[in-house]
Amino acid sequence: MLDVLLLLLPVTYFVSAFVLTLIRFKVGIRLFGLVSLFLIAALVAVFLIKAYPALVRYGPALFTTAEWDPVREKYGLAQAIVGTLITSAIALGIAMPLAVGAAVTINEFLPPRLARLFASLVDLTAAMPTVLYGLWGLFVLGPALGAGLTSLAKAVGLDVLVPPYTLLTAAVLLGIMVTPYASAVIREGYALIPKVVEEAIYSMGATKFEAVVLKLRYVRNYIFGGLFLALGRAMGETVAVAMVVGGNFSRFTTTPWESGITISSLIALQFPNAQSYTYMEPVLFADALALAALGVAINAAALYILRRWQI
Amino acid sequence: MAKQSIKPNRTILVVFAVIIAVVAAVIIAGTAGGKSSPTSPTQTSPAQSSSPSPTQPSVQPSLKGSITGGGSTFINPQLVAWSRRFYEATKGAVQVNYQSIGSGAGTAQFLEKKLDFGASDVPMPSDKFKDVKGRVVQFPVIIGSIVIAYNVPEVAYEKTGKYLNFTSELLALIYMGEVKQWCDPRIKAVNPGLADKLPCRDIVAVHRSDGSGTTAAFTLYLSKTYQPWNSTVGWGFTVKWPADEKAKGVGAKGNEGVAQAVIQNQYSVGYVEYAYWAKNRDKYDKVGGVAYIRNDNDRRYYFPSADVVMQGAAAGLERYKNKYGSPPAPDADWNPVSVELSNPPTGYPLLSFTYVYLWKDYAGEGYPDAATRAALLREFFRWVLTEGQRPEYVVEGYIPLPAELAQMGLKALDQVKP
Repeated sequence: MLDVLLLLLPVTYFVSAFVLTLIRFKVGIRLFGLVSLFLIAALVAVFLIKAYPALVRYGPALFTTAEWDPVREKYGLAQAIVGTLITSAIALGIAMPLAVGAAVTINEFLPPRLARLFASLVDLTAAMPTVLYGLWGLFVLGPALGAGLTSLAKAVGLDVLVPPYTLLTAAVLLGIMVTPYASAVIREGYALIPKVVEEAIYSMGATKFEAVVLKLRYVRNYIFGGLFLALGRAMGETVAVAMVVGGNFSRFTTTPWESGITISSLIALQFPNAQSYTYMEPVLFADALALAALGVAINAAALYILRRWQI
Repeated sequence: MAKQSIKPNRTILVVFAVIIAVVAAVIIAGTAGGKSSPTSPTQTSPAQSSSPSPTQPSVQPSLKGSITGGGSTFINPQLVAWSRRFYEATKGAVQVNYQSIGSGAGTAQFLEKKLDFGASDVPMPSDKFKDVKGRVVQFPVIIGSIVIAYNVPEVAYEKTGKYLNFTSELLALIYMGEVKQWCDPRIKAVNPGLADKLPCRDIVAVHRSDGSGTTAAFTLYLSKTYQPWNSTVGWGFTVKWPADEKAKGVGAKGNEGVAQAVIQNQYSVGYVEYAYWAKNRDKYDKVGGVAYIRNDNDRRYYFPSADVVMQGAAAGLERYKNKYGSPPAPDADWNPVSVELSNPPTGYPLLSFTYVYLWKDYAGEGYPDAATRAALLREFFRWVLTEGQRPEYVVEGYIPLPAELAQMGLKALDQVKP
């Protein structure tokens, strides 16, 4: 069944491309829209079909308990879902100031030539393979964070050993990884501020700092856009997170400096041998479904907030 | 005009410089590769001069084509090396492709007939095997051994010149979160020489976070040797580690992840494939070391080295034969065999095997070009089980099969219809 669908897609694609370019633009573009809609629907349908045995067997408890015991075929995804939310939230907390700072620096303070160089360097970091970030996290960031937090704890009189591979390590790594995405969007928005607005701000006698604040308010939609692009990246990132997150599937924790798991890293870590078990594969598809649902929910919230802000 | 003409010139120059730099980099990389390739043959040069003569006649001259297998990630480096050597031995006529997709996926895809052979760190699960009983053969092709590495600076090998002793019960108790500190009397009892130096710090039990054959072999060993482990945890590619909840368990991805986590985490202990410890031996000796493991059957402590591991494998097979009266049949369920091979009567007890699955009748299973396919598979694995087991063809960190176990595989190949 799936094969037929896959074959049908390129056919629809080319038909719509043909209509678009040669016959009627309006019809063609709508056909294209239908194709993408159909793709998403097909994806969700496949996930649902694959996840069905797990959804029936475990019910809603699958998403509200933390458990990972393949030997007894007991699964619960709460830790993965919470881990995704925690790491993404911390990552955004780190990435947004960095991204805004980079955008302002490039547009306001650097001489044009240097700014262009700096901008393309920032863009370049977005193109780095994520496994490189993962290795860096494994060998440099994780050990440094672990040692730093341990000595910090010692300084305040606590004798705890903070492990190097934790939710926090993953979050910091994610923050660094998603900064260029948010930064690129904000930078472009900032560069598009009309000259008259800028002149108006300065004619009011604003200092540089006040001007930057006003301009950032002017481009808040771009900041929001960058934020959600970064959030999407952070929630879906797989390889790098799997390497540093610690891999604790079954103990529920909301403490960032303990080892945990995220939705996508759980899939990356457990999928290769999932077919050896009866229910692990459906559970992992349910996991993917949870990530998709989370993405939709967050995007819906974003759209709602944007509407409220604009009116 | 003049100004405009300068700018493109400059860009052309820049582009040119970039091209030169790239070409230079490629050439340097090429020579570096060229430099490294002669070094690897030097290790195997005695083999290369002697091997083509015995190998060539055994390979049918008409044989030509490619076969594809997949599964175990653990065996990947070894299988790729075999594939390359076999490609050379057949003068490029036979290509063996291997997809390192994980034991579970390899088994599933083999059973769906998407792969010509499957490789797995555990024998085919009994529930899957009963559906294809009599139609498949399975046999081990290589041995791995699992070492227990630890990071306890106070008793590091560099300082004390001694390695710690462990028993299976102790390992089980640590991973169950029952033995929580290094100064626990149960650890001291088996380490009288280091007892006064063991610190009262919490043990960080490092385990794999991805599903893996290494975990399967390690947990099978604990299940066999310590009954409470068997009833509370069990064994498999991934298990629910009680240490995660009751003590300080930490997960890491892949053997390299566990190896790194043990080096980074003070007061940790972890299980890794022999090769990953051997590569970093100095680093471990600085912060801790590798444990002697007690074989519960002869109650002696063994240090992981190739000969005692092979001794263990041979002893395990012997025990199977004594128990069941005959050597295991290639087309039987191998789970009982793997149980006998684990925790053998003598030798280093922490072993892992990688098994290969083949169909008995490729034509009957609906494979296209079945005759050639079967001939290629037979030829390749015949080579793997004979020539391929010679030390010069075995990648560092893997342990060749004892002769008797290799013989089992050859018998299995006879059952594959040409």
